[in-house]
Amino acid sequence: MSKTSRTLITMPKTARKGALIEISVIAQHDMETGFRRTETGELIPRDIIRTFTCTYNNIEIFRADLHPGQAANPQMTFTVIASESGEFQFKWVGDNNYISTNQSFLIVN
Amino acid sequence: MKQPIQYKRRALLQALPVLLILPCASTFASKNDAVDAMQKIIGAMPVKDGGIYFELSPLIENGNSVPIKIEVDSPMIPHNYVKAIHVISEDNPLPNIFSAYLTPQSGKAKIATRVRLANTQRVWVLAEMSQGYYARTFADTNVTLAACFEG
Amino acid sequence: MQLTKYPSRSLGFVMSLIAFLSINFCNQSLAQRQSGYELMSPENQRMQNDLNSNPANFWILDGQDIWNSKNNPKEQSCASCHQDPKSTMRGVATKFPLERASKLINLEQQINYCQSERLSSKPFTFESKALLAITTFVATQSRGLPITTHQNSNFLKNAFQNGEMLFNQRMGQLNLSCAQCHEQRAGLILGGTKIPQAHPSAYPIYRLEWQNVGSLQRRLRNCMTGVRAEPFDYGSIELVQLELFLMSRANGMLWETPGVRP
Repeated sequence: MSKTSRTLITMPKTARKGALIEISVIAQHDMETGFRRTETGELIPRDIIRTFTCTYNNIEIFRADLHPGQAANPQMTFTVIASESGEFQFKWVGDNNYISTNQSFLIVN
Repeated sequence: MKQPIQYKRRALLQALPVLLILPCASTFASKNDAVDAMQKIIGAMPVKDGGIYFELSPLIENGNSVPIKIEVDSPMIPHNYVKAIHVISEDNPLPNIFSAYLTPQSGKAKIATRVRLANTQRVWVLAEMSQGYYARTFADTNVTLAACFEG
Repeated sequence: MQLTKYPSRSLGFVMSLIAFLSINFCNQSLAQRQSGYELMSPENQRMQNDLNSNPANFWILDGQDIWNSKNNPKEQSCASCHQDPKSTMRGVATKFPLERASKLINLEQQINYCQSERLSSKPFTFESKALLAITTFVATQSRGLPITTHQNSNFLKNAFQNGEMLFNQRMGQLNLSCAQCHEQRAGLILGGTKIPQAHPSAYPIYRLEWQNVGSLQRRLRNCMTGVRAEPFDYGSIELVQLELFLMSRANGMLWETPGVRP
């Protein structure tokens, strides 16, 4: 049983060669820490996104390990040098077979 | 026949406060857990304090979603770049909060995200430098709770 | 003999109490109305401003799917009647609550009316993900517009007065009224944060405390629990009257939905 959710990418569509661009990503996920309890006292099991990866023309340029200490609906901002036109692939993998993917194309001139 | 049972009960009652404290004490990470977690990352590498800009507001409105910004001083070129950035908490249930892995193509060692902070505490940042050492810094913050606690 | 024991201390206490109460009465005037947005940190303000970093955007996207969905017995969608929400829903959320068929209803109840009467579907459950999504989607179309509720009828005037009475009525084991905190003590610090004036101009909000989007009624019920009062039910007439009072009190303030709040 796999589950997925919405993700949003914010990054420019075009950039000059060699320019530094900023990428922001956000995924819809409750990030259940595993430390909360129900009203009757049972522990609610951990259910979080564990890793996030970003590839640029199939080369990994950013990776993050997430833990229960990450906020719900996790967002991240990072940078990359625009070297050539190409596709950015984004992937979130988490507990209980959670997988979300997204992509964006950058034109470099 | 009553006496041995009475002694046992007394001993148990005397031990009870200690037994209650012990599990509670392990629920949250202590400063020692944070130190251990950082030691596990650093290993035998040298550590230099400074060289990291760590933005964490000294007063947090809600610990569920705390924005942090980190920028490590580095030219980010193939022989001199930041390989990883780790964020460690002194007072969350678990010390490791967030780790990011960069490459020279990152251009800048600049990241931002939102984390959970359980309490007023010190938060550490470690940056693994490709030249074979760790840069380190910390910031202290106060976490307020919602005034009208809804339960 | 006992009465003369602490004369200067009790006089000092009474004087400072009078001073404290007079300060509070000066704060009572809401001539300078202020949204809870002003009390937030710059980072949280940015989170609200930029829909790409505002988690409520996910609810808006879900709401858009519901807007376009024809999955009902009539095989019609909201779009079938209302077409482009950017124009037809603009200025809608800022008018509610309104009177419909001798009942005071809020935006959620209007949406449910359309669900049952126009689409022959089961109304959404209050505070369900679906209702929050469609409400946030509709309410966002009014972002930036001023609140324009009115009481152009005896019905609405009565409803407003009931709402005002509820706002000023002491409740719960703590025996506090909304007004005592949110009017008389707005701007003072309680538990490390400033007490907001409690305007409804950003609802539904993504509340960091909930880590979720929630309605104004959820927030009002939370406040009632906070003063240890039994909260009014979702959709109750009392809560809608309170909504009408709060919206009227905030008339002219700019709509911020979807808001972010701590």
